Amino acid sequence: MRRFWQRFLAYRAGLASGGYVALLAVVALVTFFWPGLDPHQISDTAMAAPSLDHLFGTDELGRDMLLGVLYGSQVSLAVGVSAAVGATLLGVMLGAAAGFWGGWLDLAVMRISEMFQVVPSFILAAVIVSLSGTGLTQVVAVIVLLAWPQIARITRGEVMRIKQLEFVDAVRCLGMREWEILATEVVPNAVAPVLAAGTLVVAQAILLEASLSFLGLSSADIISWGRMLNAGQRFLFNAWWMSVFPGLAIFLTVLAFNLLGDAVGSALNPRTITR
Amino acid sequence: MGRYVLARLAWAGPIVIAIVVATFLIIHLVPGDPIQALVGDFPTPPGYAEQVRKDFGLDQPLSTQLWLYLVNLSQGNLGFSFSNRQPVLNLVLDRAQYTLLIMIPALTFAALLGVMMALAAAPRAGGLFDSGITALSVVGFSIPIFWLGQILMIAFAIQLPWLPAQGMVSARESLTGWPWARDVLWHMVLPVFSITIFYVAIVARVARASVLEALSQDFVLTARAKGLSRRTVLWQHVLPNAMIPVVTVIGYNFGHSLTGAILVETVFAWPGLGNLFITSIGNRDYPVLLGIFLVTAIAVVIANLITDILYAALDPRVRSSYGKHA
Amino acid sequence: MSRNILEIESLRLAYRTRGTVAYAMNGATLHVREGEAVGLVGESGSGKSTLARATLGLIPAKIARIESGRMAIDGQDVTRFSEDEWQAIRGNPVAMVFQDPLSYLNPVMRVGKQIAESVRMHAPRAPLEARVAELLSLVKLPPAAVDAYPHELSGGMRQRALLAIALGCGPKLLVADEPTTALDVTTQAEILALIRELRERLGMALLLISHDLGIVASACDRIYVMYAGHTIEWGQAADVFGKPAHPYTVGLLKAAQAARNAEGRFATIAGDPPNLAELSPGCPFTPRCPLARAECSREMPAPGPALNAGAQEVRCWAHRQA
Repeated sequence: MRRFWQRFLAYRAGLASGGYVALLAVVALVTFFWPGLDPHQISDTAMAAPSLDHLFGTDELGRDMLLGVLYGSQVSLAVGVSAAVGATLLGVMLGAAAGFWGGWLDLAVMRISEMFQVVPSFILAAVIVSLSGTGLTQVVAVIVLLAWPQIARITRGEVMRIKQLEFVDAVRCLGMREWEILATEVVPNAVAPVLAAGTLVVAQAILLEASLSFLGLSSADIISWGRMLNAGQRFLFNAWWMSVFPGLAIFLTVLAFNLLGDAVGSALNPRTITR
Repeated sequence: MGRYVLARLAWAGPIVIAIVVATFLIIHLVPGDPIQALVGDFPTPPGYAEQVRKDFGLDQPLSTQLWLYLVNLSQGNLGFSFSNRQPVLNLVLDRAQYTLLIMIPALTFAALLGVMMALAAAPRAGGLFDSGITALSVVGFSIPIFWLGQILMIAFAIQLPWLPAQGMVSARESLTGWPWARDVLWHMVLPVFSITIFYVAIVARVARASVLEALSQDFVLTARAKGLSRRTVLWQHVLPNAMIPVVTVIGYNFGHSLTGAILVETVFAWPGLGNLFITSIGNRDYPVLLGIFLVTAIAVVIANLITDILYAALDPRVRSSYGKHA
Repeated sequence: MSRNILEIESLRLAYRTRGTVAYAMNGATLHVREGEAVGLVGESGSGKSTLARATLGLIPAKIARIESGRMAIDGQDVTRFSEDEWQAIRGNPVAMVFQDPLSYLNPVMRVGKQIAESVRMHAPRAPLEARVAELLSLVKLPPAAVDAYPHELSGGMRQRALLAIALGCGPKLLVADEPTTALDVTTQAEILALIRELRERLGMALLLISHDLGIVASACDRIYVMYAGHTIEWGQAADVFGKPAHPYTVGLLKAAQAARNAEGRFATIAGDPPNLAELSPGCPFTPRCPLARAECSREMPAPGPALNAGAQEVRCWAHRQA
């Protein structure tokens, strides 16, 4: 563990990203629980440029942009983390099973994940969401559906490598049953690259949610950065602040999670460079 | 080589079928009546919905429906878009050419720029320029492409009115011939630039790694030992080897670039697939959305196939290992 | 008396990295006459590969520089050569073949084209196809090899291709750095026979570098033994291998012959190879030498005749009658 922290801290970009993510989480929690702040509040000063009163300006309905951006962190983090967790759980289960038992299960999982790799995933996501409704649960479900193959592939690779190590046979001789071995011995050793990949999935999920919202495929009641860019698109000529700030938030958050994923990957496995 | 091509074709076939089946499943698995996916929520003439119900056999068992779906697809019947007053297939293919019009130049520029940057950085590996490229590629990977488009539009079309902000042609005039072409090119600049910036990062990173790798190969020593000049060694020996990963990274990311182009189009109101996509979402014209998905998915499969063939053409080792498998 | 095609005099070549200096060549001296076959033996880290690459100027100045001494090729002093000057003499008069033919051939270029490059570079007015075909038959490769890619050929065929590439330059000196190490024993013998035949037909000089004493003994007239950047013994093959003088050479031969010592164990050379970055003045073999004496750690002896051995020269205090 100590070595992990040493390497992690040595990677300054990872450190900065970690700090940013922590800060974002704090913002999301604070805005969630803090009473009295209303980002939906319409005012008379519509489309006002950034000023001391409104640091990020106001939108077409007079709502404060700074509040909006801060509130948007809730959706991004919620969708990002839950989609990544879901994809990781699903991917680890299927990938581990495929890698451990091989055979037709392996073939099936590999073929399916290959197919997902080929189709343009965003278009697929947009089509499914537009057909099935734009709630957050649908969006998370779609992202999980699109992201599990990459986790499965990594897990499968790791499991196939680990199952050949001697200690697996040793434990087998003790009488442990196959699935017990898989769950308690093999998978925990495969955690490292999966953790790094999972962090990268958060980045992809946030980007995907933002892209879907940008196209209007999200609920109008929920404040999300992508949705703000959708609104800003109409007012690009008059109110640049409606597009610049939410987009900047998306960019920095996705960048932070990508760098974090890289840092976690190289900290946990000094031999490989993740990207 | 021929055997390799056949093997790749044989692989592509089932994938296409899988995509079609997947589309079929989407139509039927989403909540609601499948008829909605095939007809859309846009007002349609009376009796049309009934016609579609019959054509696709929606009251029949699922297997028959699948069969009918395949039959319809093979005849080119992807439905009819009432919001655009055109059959879906024609509509999608028609708009696709405009998407390609910005995609292809963008990818070409990204490829050339990326390689040039890698060649410039390679001799000073570890230097400032080199770290710059690595940093740039993470940034490029993380930036939302539609936001990049918006920023560029704000900067170069609005704040500094140098370039047109929207559309493919200036709406006010109707030009022909060379002035028309010039107008189109002028409108192309920002969308193409957005896509290019996005992809230069990825290409430069791969190119840098592969150039560095190629430079350190042993056969470079043989080439120099022959007395070849540094320039000859670079162009005749290093580059042909280094270019292989670059070509494959662009080719295998065709789906990604297509998605990027589509998103960029919505920002610049470029009349391609992206524009069609977003207006169809607004109109709830679902057959168009499904049509776009099918066409783009198959396009990506074709692009992968072409990349496979290109890869084998550039790297003879790939051809041989394939022969041994069979 | 034919002249020297390669002259290396007390050459010191240092690898300098942040703070540490390692002398890969530390006063090495080596001569090859026209048409002669000279062998260079030593263990890994002795500096023999560095010497090989230095003879073609293939070590970038940024990595290592010649600090003192002199090197001349075909009468030309190359000690202070720039990259451009080196490029002019690479291939002709001196060419090189390397160890592992698979990685030393461009995988995406046909073998014929790689040979043609040499020909075009050094004999631009020669009829290209004919000359390439000639070279292929010279190294006993089938004419069909011209269109083959490296990975389609066997190990032995690839080494022949590398030879053809080197010969296409028309060299007077061929430097062969471990040319048979990556090959199996039968192929090794074939390649050695081929090299011998080529030498006879073309009158080419050969500098054969290897850690395999048997190969060097069978192919070369004169031998140099190298240790930690110094050439410590040299002379006719029969003398150096038959009546070795330097304690290192003695130990090397005993180990190679799998001789057994008094207790019935395999004879080895005690100790470890030296760290080139931490050399003390004097003979680097001192810590491992059974005949070490006081002078050995103070100063490296000048070359002198060997005592109770053949006609070779040796740098060893034990061979001086003080």
